[in-house]
Amino acid sequence: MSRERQLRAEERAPRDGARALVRLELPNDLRALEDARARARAALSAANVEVRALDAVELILEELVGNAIRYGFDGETSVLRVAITPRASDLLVELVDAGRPFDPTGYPPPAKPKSIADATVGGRGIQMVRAVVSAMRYRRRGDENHLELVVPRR
Amino acid sequence: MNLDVVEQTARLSCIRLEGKLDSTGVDQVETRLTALLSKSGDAILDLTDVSFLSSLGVRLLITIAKLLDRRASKLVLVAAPQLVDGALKHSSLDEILPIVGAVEQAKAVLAT
Repeated sequence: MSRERQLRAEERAPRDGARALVRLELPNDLRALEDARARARAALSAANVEVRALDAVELILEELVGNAIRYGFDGETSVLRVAITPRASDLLVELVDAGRPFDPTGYPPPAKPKSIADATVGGRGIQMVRAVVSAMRYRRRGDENHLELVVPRR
Repeated sequence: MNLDVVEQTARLSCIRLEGKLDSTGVDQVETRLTALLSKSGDAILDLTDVSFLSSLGVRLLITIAKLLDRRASKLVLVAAPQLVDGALKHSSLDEILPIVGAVEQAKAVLAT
């Protein structure tokens, strides 16, 4: 293997989630998302992860994996990867997809509405995710979006 | 996601939702809920038994609130503390809609 090809292979390797309790691969089909959320919740609940953190993980999957499935692909079939690692005081959630580049950490928060009449209808998903995580880091590796989120357990 | 019409008169609709108000839940109740609330005056949405609220659920609540606002009617939410301190606050919905802890409190808000 050439050095260039080796480097590319290393960069694309699933380094994420090596010690994860939850590892999921799901097609970019919204019908698979509900099952993925339920499986992640069940596995983390069995490991005594706190309810608040379980809710946060479900929200992350619903919002960010849901967004990737809805907007990341132009009708092409693909697979998204999720890894969740419980740690002493938090959970590390890693999301990988091969959709179009999208960095949610740079997504501007919606303007604070003063009344129901001037409230925008949508655009609150990333704002809601930001509220339940203590850190969020995005990298584009090769042709993949890699997102790491830290969910406090208390 | 379950939807129960607790009360519906010409002046007030009180509707209770139960389950997860996520993309699946919204698909299940959006058409019926919107139709029910297009008929009469003010509305109370009892979310006490809603265990999960995603941004699509928030979108539905804002859409309904705007529908009522355009005809000078009001929407009051009833929700448990977990939902108030979580999704309702994180989406800033608590800043634009009245949220109380019981249906009777919601009726009192509408009476003022």
